[in-house]
Amino acid sequence: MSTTPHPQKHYPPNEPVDFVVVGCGAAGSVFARELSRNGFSVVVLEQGPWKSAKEFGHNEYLNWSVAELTNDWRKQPQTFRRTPHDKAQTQPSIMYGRLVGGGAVHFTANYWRFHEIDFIEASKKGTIAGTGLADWPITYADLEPYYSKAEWDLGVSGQAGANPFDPPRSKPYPLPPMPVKPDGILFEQGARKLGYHPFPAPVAVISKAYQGRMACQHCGWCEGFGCEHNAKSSPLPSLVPQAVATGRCEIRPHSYVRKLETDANGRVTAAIYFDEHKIEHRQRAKAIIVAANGAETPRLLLISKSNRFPTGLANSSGLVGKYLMFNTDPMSGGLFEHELNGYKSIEVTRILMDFYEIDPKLGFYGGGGISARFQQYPISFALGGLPPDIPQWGSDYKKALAKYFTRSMVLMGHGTSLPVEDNSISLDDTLKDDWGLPAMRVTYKDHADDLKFAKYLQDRSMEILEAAGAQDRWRYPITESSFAVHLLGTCRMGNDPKSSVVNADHRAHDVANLFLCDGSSFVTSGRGQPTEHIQALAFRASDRITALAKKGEV
Amino acid sequence: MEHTRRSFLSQSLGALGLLFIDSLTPQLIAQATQHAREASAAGTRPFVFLTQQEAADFDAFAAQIVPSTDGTPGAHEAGVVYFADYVLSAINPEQQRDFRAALAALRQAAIAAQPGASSFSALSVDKQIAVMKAMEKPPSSSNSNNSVAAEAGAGGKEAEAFGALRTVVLMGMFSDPSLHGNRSKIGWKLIGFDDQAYWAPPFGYYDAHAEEKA
Repeated sequence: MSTTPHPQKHYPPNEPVDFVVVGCGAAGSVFARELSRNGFSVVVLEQGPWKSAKEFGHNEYLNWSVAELTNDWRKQPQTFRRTPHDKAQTQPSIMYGRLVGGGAVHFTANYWRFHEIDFIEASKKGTIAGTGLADWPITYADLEPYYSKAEWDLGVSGQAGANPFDPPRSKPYPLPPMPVKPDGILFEQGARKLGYHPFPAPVAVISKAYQGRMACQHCGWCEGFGCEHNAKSSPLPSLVPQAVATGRCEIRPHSYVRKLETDANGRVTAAIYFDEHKIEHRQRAKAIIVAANGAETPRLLLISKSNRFPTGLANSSGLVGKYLMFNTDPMSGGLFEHELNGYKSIEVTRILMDFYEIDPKLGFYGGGGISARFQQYPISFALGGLPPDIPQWGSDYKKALAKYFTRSMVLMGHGTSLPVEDNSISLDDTLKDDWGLPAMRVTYKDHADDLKFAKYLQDRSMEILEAAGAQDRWRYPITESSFAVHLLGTCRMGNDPKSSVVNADHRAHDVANLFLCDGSSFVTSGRGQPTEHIQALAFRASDRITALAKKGEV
Repeated sequence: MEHTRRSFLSQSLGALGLLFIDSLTPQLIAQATQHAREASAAGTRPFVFLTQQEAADFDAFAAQIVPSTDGTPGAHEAGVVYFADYVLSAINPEQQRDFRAALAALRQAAIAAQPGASSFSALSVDKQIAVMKAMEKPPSSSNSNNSVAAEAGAGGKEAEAFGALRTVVLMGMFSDPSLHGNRSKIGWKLIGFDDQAYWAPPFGYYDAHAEEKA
């Protein structure tokens, strides 16, 4: 058995626990803590390792090359195709956190709520032909208490009331905003000149000591890295130790679930998984919650097909894996006279939401925000950070590296993706992973409106850079997506079992004791930062599932 | 979307067919880090993987990617060739074949450009640059709007080889010096990156000079 950073309860696999949770990421860690605190026995099965802060460092080469924090495409290859009519080719397409804490360990830490409109866009603005744009079965008001809970339980820095487009909130942020960076100052100046409303970015990084954790030390290694100071508010220093401290939760790292087992009544009874030595185990459970992310959750359901569920578990709608959404992220860059040193401190300190909803007269769907940032480390910057029209090697390249690294910034748009049924996670026909399981096949073609809106955000970003006084401005090309980290929509929520996979309680329409909650639950994509929404959904689902279980209805 | 922050990652990982995404274990990393420290302490290490000829060719290639100009050192001085030899012998040995193939393509391009030449490094600097410019350009016929491979940047073997070698040069130029490249932090000093473990505001000119607001 693996050693773990925290002593914890151990359950014998043959003894059915109240809940098995598949995945210990942004959502799974919420279930781990909430359900164990509510008195239930919980076993969490996590594919990846269980690391602690002391194992995180700043070695850019090793961090990216080793895939220590993320899925390893060598062991779990993927295929990609643009449409269902194309032949899929083996290539990395999906990246996700693969460790206890999940993608929230290495994420940039942008922590955004959805707005009211996100839940009711179809009924407010009309459906769009060729898409599955639909209302959520819950509203912003239903979720608001859980956004606040997430912000306070994890530790989020921000300034309530600073964003005039902000939805209503019951509590302020628990921590003041992070210090503004030079790029944030310039962004704010440029945006205000144009009449926009920039404000301090809400981030899951603690600006002051909080709940026994030290404040951010501004090292600058947030995106793609674990935080060695535990100042990033991932589940790792908060929800995870709190869950095991209940004495009712066991987290099993290196546990790769290969199938959910069902009985003659169509109820799930156990999760069959491989341990780190590829030895198979079977953990029995009274109920199972799958929170394995928007790509692995549908993959596991599709792999778990049986005579009773011939097209995959919980898939009577045929929609498991469908309506995959990525978000768009158009970028532009600007060079300024003096040093910005954007590599210091967190990535983003100023954003704006003036384009959360756009004028319908523009003729396309979309909405989103813009952030000022500089998230490129030395190797990444050298590989692709310079303006595309500058030579990429030689003496002029060298001069440009020296000139641009400390004096440039990036404005990134964070945009919507429409739900399109063909965009999907499915099982590859022939390719297998190292465990012999069908490889993930990704099918994705951006809706034309998504690309139009991305261009719209980039145009606005270029104007802001000009107003901010940039000496040089450039666009990074906007092309169709073939690689993503935001994995949304593949087991969508809804009230109608024919057009959704889970109900408003995240219970699978087809399987009474199976719940799905992570990015896969999304009905719409939101405006580009899904983590807070995922965690708020999980906090709410924990309450709903607790209530159902206590009534004997699970 | 390509050319986004995500694609910076996929670009850096895509060269040499995922050259550096491998099944490293924490033990291997610890071993490699220790190895690096010992070798570093002992001075320049002998090549483990690269032949002398390969090392000379890659070093010459690197010296044109980031040349020693304007009185500042470049990739040669940063010891990029030692980085390549180190990571391909101690960390990613199973990628040696791909790297060697890319070097072979460079050599072939040199021979094609100057019949009778024995290697890329034997060419004059002007010839080296001409060879590299020719390699860099993907064949125009490979451009296809609907091809996933084209979107991913595939465009002829020579262009692929050029891209892969350039990627390794830049990784070696700007990596943590414990991996034998970026000697004396030459790469980091060039761009103005300071690897201090923590900072406090002000971070740059504009916050230092921001007007105090009530």
